[in-house]
Amino acid sequence: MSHSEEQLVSLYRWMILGRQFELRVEDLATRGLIPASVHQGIGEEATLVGSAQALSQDDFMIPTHRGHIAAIAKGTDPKRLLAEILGRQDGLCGGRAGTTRFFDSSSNNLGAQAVLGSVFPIAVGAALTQRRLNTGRVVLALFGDGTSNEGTFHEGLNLSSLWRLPVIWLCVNNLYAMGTRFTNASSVPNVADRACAYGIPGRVIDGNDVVRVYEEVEEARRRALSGEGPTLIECKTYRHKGHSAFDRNPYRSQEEMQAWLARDPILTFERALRTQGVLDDERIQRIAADVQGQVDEAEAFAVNSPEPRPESALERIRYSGEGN
Amino acid sequence: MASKVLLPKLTYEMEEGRILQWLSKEGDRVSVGQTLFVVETDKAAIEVPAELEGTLLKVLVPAGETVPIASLLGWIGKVNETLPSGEEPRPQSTAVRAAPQERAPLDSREPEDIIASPIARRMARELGIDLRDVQAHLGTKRIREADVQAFAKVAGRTAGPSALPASGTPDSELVQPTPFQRAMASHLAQAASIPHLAVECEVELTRLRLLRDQLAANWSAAHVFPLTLTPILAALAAKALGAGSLLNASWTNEGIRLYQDVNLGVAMASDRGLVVPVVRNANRLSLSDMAAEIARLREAASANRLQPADLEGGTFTITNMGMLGVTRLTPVISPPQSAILGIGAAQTRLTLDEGNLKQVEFCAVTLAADHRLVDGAQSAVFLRRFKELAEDPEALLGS
Amino acid sequence: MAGREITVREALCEALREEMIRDKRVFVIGEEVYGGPGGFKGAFKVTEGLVAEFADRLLDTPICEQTIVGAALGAAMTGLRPVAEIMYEDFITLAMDQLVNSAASTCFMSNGQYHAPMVVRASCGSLGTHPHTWTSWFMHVPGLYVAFPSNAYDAKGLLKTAIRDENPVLFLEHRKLYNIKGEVPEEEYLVPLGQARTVIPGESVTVVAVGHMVHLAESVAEEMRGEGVSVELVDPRCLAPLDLDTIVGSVRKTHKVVVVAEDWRTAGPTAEMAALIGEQCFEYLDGPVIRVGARDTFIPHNLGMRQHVIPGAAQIRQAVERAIEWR
Repeated sequence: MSHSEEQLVSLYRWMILGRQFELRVEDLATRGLIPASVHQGIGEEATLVGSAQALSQDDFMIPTHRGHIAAIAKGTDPKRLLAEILGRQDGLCGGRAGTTRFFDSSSNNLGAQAVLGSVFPIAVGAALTQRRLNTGRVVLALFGDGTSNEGTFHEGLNLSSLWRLPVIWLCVNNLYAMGTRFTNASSVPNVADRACAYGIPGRVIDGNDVVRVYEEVEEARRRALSGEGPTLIECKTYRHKGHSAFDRNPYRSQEEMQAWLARDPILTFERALRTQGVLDDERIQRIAADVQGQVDEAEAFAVNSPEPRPESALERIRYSGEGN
Repeated sequence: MASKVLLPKLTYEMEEGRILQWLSKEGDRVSVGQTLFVVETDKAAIEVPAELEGTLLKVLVPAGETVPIASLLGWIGKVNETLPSGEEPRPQSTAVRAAPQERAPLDSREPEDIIASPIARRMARELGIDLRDVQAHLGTKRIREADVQAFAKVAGRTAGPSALPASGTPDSELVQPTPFQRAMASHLAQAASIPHLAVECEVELTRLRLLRDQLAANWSAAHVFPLTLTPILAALAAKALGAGSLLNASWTNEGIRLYQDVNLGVAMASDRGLVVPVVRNANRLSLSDMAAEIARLREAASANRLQPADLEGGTFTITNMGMLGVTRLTPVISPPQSAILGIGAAQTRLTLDEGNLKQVEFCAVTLAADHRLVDGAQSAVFLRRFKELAEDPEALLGS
Repeated sequence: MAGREITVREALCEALREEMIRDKRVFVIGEEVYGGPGGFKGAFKVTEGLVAEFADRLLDTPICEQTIVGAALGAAMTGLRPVAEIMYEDFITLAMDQLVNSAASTCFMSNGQYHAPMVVRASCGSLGTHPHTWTSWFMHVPGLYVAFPSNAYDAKGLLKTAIRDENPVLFLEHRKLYNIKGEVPEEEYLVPLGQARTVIPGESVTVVAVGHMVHLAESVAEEMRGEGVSVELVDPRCLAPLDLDTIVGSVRKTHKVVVVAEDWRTAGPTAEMAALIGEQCFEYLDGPVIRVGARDTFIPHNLGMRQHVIPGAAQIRQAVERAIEWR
């Protein structure tokens, strides 16, 4: 499939932004500014950017706990996301949700999961609404290899297939759930192997190939909107860092990590675009500088945002209508 | 400017006092520390000194009246000094209250051993009722709202003259119990909840009389007061108890408290009624010291000068009613003690001694003990020991 | 009130029907709610009366409680108004994560960007299999309301209010009540959430009872009235929010109180109520708050054993006597 230069550069820039954002988050964490653990998506940019970008603005997304990059690629303002990660008043959720549970209605992000596994039932419900109201919108449900073993995976895939709901089930398989290798947790080698149990297509793809991911999700979207129901896409990828900010991940071998680092999705894509003449040093520098500026701006905004009033913890527990 | 003379709070539980006597009259000069008046509280008659130098300008509450603590009793100041106007209202004489009144804060009023529901406490507080009176009236374990209401009705009836004479009862006069009487009533109502076991024996007085006569010979050389049998019997009782005896103990919610020493209460008369001042560490006193202390207490009692400290801390009591002609008595334990020894009057009888008729003097000795701690056998052991000591006293009583 | 008498089941069905007519977004989702031709039309037939008009709004699901409640949440967040049905409250434990961690916290965590206008109906009570009743687990959760009507009038009014509410409501239906008739007016009415009802006014002792226990307490109150004891019976109707004002007002009048529920006694709703009453009425109490609940054991199959576990009128009566006679 051919993509315009503009589209390709756009995908590249989103990946650079995603990575720089995550590196800045790591920096802020080591400076003690983040009140909780953070889970970085460094290394998964191709999967997260490719899938989010394949959606339209109106489509819904439910990210994982490792959701910063996907959220930004879906349209979340990095300033407000960073403020939320720091727990500040101007964060997306006023500092209440933090890094693993934030919502962003402006980009139709239905919120990262409180407990992993709730993506399946909630995506079913959100997709149910789209079908009943005939909205022409789909739901992209992201989940990791570990989460695919929760019971709700079965319930969700079964029901979404039965009712032919407009869902895209996308598994970000980075081979590890915290410290547990996928091969030690799954009875089959690929998550997508289970798709046949639900009568839906299962696709295993190279999650580090951003264009591949983009195209696959685009196709799944088409299927969903045409009433053919859900698709299960499994993106094989790898996280460059540990499970969370201070995890040294001794459970992964050096050889394995080196091998995957060599397949860094950004470097691979950059090389490919250079070859195609889409990118050159100058353009790369400009993009890098531009992204740097954007991330600096996000940091300044977040760090200067005030702490929320402690009493605000008692507000808005229940919705009371307009002007809530 | 003239200074007020107020009725001070002299004991923990004191709420009112009866002025027994003014030692100065209006116009007299008084100096600091000089006794101004004597007040009767629930525990004892207490002398209250003047706190400043000056002339007793005015006495507002005469002897015989009962007023609440902090009442204005009079004024001390310079001769012919005018008293602040509008400050002369006489304090209200207190009676058993049925009308609501502001009372002292909860904590200072209510003993922990009363179980009462929160609303009962509040109602009692508002009506100015002492929950101990309610408990005494009812004898129940837990006081509830209805109990306080019922008591309030009863109390209300005794506050004024009866509306109608009950049919068949003669004319009567209603008097207010003094604080002393009320304290005694409350105390004895508590005693009623202790299961009493009384055991008795007869003690021959021959050797005791002999000992007393021997000691009396040289007694007046060393002592002002005469030697009676009471201190001897008291000393014997203290020795008979021994350390850690269940008869020298208290039954408490936390367990049985055993006392190492004997603080011996010695019942004696005063014109207020029966008082029981305490001889501290009686088991360690010589007979001489014992007698001296009892004499001191007796004098203070008859002069109404016993202090609250003299009346507190007793662990065992002896009551000798022999001189009043009582042959036997079943004494009542004074809570929180666990026993009391009652001594009856000397009597004579004839016995056979090696075939010959002999006249022997004896008295009945009754031990009443708290049956929760002490059983019949243990009581009997004490009695036997006391009898042995009493019938062979010389060995134990050296000087 | 008009003199029309209908069963609790019929009242619930009417509530659903009226709300579905009023708001097209309302739909039912759960197991056997319709079942197609020859289907159950509701395990307890609550939705039977809706089949003719609203078959397309009765969504039958496979057995997947977590997804029944979670899908309700997803639908509610994106613009519909689901009424999820959990067949027996015993099964709700399968859906705890969706109810507690997801639904109840949606408005709070999103800071109002999203909210969850959904109702989860569940049948409870010691009739038949799966006989448990659980309320305090849910009273415990911020953001979650718990409604528990005891009669047809309240059932209809509360369900309508719950459906119109913008937030998650757990709606408990005691199975012994489904067939019990009560006066329900023809005209539309609502019963607000969090408002108690004084079933019988009285002077001597307050009894707070919920669900089916209200009927047992009522019979005890009538019996004791004949003996000169004036019981004031209060039905909270909702456990969260709890109408403490009404309960406190009653206890401040009578000074004696018994609280009754069918949950296990330990840490049951009566424990929370007793604590609240203790806090707010301490100086008015003429004795401790007396609690009646199921004995702390599992509810057995055998009926004799079951009767020994679940509180009955006798236990309620004994409790009232204790409240009066605390000595």
